[in-house]
Amino acid sequence: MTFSDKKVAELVNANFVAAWYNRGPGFHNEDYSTEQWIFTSAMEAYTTKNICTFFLTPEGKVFHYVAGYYSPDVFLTYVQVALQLRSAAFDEKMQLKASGPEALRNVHADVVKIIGKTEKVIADTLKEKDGWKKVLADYQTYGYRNVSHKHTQACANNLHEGYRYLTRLHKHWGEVKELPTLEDVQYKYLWGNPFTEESPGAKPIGWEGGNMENVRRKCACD
Amino acid sequence: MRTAFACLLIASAAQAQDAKPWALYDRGVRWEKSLDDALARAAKEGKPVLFHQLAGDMDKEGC
Repeated sequence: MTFSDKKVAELVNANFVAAWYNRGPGFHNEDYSTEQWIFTSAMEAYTTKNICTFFLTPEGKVFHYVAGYYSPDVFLTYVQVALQLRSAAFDEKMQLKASGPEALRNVHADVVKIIGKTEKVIADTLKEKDGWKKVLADYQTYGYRNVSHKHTQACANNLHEGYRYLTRLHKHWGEVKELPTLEDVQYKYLWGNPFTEESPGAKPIGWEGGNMENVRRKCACD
Repeated sequence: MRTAFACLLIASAAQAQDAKPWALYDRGVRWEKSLDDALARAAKEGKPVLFHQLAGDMDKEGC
């Protein structure tokens, strides 16, 4: 749904070279019940570790990633963050500027401030009667596999979890001194929730989702 | 709710809107056949790579 959205496709095709990878070689899920559950209750954001979108330099260094599934609305915002990172830190040939690492950290710090505020507003609004309706008022609904989505309290809760995850993620990236290679992080990245679909031959995804101390401890043990 | 976050993104959004839509691929994202192909094209065109990893087949999952 996300990648067939016209706005997403135009933004990605105009600014990135795209590739995808099946980490369970040959795996194809033909049981759509889980997909439909996510579509029904977490259409805006589902921070599963099962999916990750990496943003890479042409040399294969990772300058950002985001784990999880997101609706076109939300996906567009984080692709735009990736474009901000690109503009701030790289030259027109996509080479890292001398000031690039610091510029990346500054963008992440700015994003943390803004997303952190938004996350707090969502949290406060969710405490109000029918607050979830206000939270989702600006978010479109989509159709998928002949099913129409209707916003629910669960959608708003999952969107809030998405913002909490993104805040943690940008805080993490704000501390990164040197860009990792894809090999460094392809199976060991910060995710929001532990749902996954494993298949024969799939490498498991490492790291913890909830607590940065756990992330560091786990990482040090590996 | 999304307004504050969107403000941060105006500059990059404007940059994206200035770029011509990829008319030939207006039905979806244009995927290279492999990461190596994507990296090679990215180096040639001076673009970043968007690399989407999932447990599944994008050609069949209806993404």
